[in-house]
Amino acid sequence: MIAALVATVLAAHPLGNFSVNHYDGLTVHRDRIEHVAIVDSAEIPTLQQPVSGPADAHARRSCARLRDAVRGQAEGRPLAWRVTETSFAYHPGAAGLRTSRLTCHLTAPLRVDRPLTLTFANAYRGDTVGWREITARGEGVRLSASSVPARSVSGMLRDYPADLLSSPLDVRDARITVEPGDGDAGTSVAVPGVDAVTRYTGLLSDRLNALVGADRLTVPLGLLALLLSLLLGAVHAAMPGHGKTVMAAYLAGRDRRLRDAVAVAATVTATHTAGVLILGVLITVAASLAGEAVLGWLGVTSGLIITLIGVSLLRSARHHQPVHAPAHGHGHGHTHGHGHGHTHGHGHGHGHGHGHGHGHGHGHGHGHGHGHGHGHGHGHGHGHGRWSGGVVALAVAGGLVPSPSALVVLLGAMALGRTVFGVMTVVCYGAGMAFTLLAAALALRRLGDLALVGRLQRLRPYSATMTATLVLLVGTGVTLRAVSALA
Amino acid sequence: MSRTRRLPPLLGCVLLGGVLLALYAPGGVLRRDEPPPGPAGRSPYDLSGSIEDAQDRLRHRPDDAAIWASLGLLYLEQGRRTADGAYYGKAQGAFERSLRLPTGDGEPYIDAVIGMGALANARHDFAGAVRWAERAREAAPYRWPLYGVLTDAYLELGQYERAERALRRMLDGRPDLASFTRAARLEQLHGRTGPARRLLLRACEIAGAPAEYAFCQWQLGELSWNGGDARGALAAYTRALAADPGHVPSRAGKARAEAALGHLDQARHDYATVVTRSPSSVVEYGELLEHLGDRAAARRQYAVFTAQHKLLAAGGNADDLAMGTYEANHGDPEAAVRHLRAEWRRRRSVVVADALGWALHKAGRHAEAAEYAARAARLGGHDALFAYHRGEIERALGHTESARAHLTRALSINPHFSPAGAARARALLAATA
Repeated sequence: MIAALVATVLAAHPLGNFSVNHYDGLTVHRDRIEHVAIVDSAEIPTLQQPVSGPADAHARRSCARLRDAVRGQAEGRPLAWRVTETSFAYHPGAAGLRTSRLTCHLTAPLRVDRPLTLTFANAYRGDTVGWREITARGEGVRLSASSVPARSVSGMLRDYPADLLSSPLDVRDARITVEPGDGDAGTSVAVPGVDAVTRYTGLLSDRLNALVGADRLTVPLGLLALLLSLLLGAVHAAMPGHGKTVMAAYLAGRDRRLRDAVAVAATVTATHTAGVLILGVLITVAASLAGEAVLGWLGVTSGLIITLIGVSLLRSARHHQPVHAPAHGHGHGHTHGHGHGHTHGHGHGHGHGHGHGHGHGHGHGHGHGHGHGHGHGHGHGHGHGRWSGGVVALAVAGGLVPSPSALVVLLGAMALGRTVFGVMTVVCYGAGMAFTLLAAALALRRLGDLALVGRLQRLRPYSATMTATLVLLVGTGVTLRAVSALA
Repeated sequence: MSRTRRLPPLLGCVLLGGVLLALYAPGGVLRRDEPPPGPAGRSPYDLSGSIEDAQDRLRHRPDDAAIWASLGLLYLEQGRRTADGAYYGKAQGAFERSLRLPTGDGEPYIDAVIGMGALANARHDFAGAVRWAERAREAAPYRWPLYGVLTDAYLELGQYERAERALRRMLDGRPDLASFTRAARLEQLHGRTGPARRLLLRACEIAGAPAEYAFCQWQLGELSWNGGDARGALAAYTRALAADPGHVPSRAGKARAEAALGHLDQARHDYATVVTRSPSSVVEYGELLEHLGDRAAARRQYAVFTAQHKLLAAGGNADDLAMGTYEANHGDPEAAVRHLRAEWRRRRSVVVADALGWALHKAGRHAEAAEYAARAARLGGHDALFAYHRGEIERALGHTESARAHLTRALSINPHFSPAGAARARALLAATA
């Protein structure tokens, strides 16, 4: 019984029996802000701060000092705190000693008739070690933004999380925005679901980063890193959003020969590698160049290029449709029909890419947002004639935004003075992508004509216009998303 | 068709250009001082940041023995830095997770084994530390940190030859801050102050992190203090605190030096800061307060010490050396002898010998006390407190001349070695003059 009590008390203080732990719970009402301050002192600080006189008087004195140490501001004007309720109590602690708990209720007048920004900090006994937690919620008002959660993870200092992967909280100030209205929105942050493939590729690229940054780079270790990047590239090309690239490669293989499929793959590798290298060098050489901004502007440029291509496609489709259908017809119309899908997926790819890149920083979410391959796929699918210009442009549009994971590896390697090795990894990454595309193209070619393709032939006369329209739409979408991400 | 064929060579050229640019761009430009925007975004000196990173990675990869081991080491460092034992429990949990996880060769991850040794040292289980370090040495004799664990453990166990052998191995393998500061400590134990100072100055030159610099400045301060140079010590402690304001031992040293120089208000203020962070200096603070005549305040500090050791004992980590030393000076000498005899059975370092000798003297067993006092002096170190204790014991045995010699030596080594002790030594010398 006593042992159990001791155990719970020991678990109760995450920072040991020398800690003074603070909790501040803020509740914003329409006409006031309420503050519950709890100070949970472990055995030694309880002993160091002896209570002279009755506990009530001690609680009142301590809460008055706490009130003086609390800084609260609404739109820059200090809040006038008043103590409304106090209590102080001892609790049994370890080794027959006591812990103590001081609770102060404070309130300050506040009128929430328009959006207000509140700041809060508690400096009471700020030089001691301990858990520090702040929560904020609204009652009758809405918190539209808050730097602190609405609920206490420690049950107001009664049940501290004690697992090996959590550090004691040390939150000393809060910033919240309140506005009139109901509901307690804005404080809960939705965690985006991550699918299994993205998660495992993330792990894979973590491992690659670790290898590139290893203390000593041995030959087997280096080979392993290259193999990993090859694998990452291959997985990357097979990610959702890349299926369209594969289709493009397939079309290249079907309409032309194996050599064209190889050319598509080679172009994918080359453009991707070049894009990553150039951006990597740019970022390294120009210290002032922020990687995210560059990626953002590249996104805008690539969106604009796609839009332009869409416009020119539309124009030429309207010009050439009746005349050309019988002449080049088959290949063309067909290719366009599929082209939709590709370009579409492509565009989205970009959009996500930005969103993720900004949200997570490096090392995560690589799965999305690589559009590189797509453009090329198209290019080669159409191969020749007057589309080549557009195809090259699409390829450029795709290659403009390099894969963040490959970029991270390259920059990491450069920082360690292993530039050659970094370049090799990036090349392998591209080769891995090419390998997947090629394999998919070959496999699809073996499967022969699909029923769907046959049916789509009926739409042939219109497909060019449809493609062009979709490319245009996607281009506009990509541009808008990129611009909004920049803002 | 012709365009299709021309395209790959064109892109090939672009690729080649990119590669050449990457390779031949000036190296000075490629390697800038600021951290790369890559995976290594965190300064290695940002302890709590590094802990967060390790925790994050373990949430994704809970079976990585290497990260568990490094998280354990980070917790241990955090525990040392904040003087908060709760982190030791976390460190132990992390090391144990790492040890349970399979690695490539079937052996446990070596950093976790060494970490367990370092943790044992931090918890004063020096024999356990030796066992872990020896286990690590069998598996990986070239992991230098293990010799650090071994050196510390042997020094505390009083096995100085073994400590020196382990340290030599470490110095040969990796002459760095960790080995220099340990070597300085060994030199100091042998009374070779000059070499100790040179080693510490070198260590301060190669210190990377502010916390490392603070650590070796603190050691320099301790060296100056033990040599009686309160002013030099104060300067070193101040430098340490400028680098790392949270370094508790330096704050305590600063308070001690200020008290010696007569800056009593500043000393009280610094001591008060220290004792809200760590219990390590409560007795020292109490002794100063008692010397200044504030007995009630002193008793409060002593009560904190007693409570702290009750808590340690309840947790199974009783510190017999600290308890015995305290009991000898402010409590029951018989209890002090019991504590220190228990400690002496575990380890026979000069510090324990001195403390046991002093406790025996307080308990009235002066002849036995003299034996231990002689053992405390066996390494030839210059320690004012040891000399004072020896002088008192000799005086109790009626050896006035020898007593005078020891007391004089104590005051010449460090005239401020203890507020009450130094005053009494002076009084005794005056009385027998």
